[in-house]
Amino acid sequence: MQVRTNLMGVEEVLEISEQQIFAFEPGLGGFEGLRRYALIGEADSPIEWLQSLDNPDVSFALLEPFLFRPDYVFELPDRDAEALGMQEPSDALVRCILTLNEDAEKITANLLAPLVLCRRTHLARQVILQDQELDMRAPVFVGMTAQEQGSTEQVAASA
Amino acid sequence: MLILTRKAEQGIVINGNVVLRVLSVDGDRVKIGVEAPRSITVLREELLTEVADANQAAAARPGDRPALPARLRLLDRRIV
Repeated sequence: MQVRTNLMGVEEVLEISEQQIFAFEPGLGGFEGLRRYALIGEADSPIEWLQSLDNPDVSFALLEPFLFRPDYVFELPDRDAEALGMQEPSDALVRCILTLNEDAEKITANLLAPLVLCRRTHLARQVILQDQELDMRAPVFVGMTAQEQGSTEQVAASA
Repeated sequence: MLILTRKAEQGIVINGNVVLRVLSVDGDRVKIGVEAPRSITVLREELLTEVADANQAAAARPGDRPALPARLRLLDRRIV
């Protein structure tokens, strides 16, 4: 099926498969009326886009938290696991909403309220983790070791 | 909007299956107990507001996609 999006700066139409569609129940906070989204990958990048199927102007950049916080762990409340139709942990796709910035140092991820998408049922929701000291605006790039910084900059320089 | 006054130990029943009970009153703080079926999420209101505000601030703008910083593309090359 087709989805309209403004992500490239102009409205375009993308072809997506049913497998990319997720139903958010409830809708995202601040966007409660929007329920259906397409998960769209990005070539050459770990970023994914969550594009509203109901409103071409609404989309979110997502990143898997374990890519930049290897020790990120949370307990998915039973009520959310049941509502999503999860049967085993591998059913879950966990993604954090990013706030983008031209300055990469200022890119942050919402670790307190990750999105959990269930592969099995294609249901999804934003889960607000109450009991943990997690940052709603966690910097993505702070905390890399000097060696890692050096190697990514070398790769960037040669790209 | 329904407006009620309760004293300590008194409760309010919502939808037949959610019970709010005033446990104690201490100055300007009220301790409230909430009993609800497991399927119902119970959150402090300000937390929901904060998440909604954060989502709205994070929503991508037209043109964000081509402007992705190059460093983001490199994240999956880290050894995790």
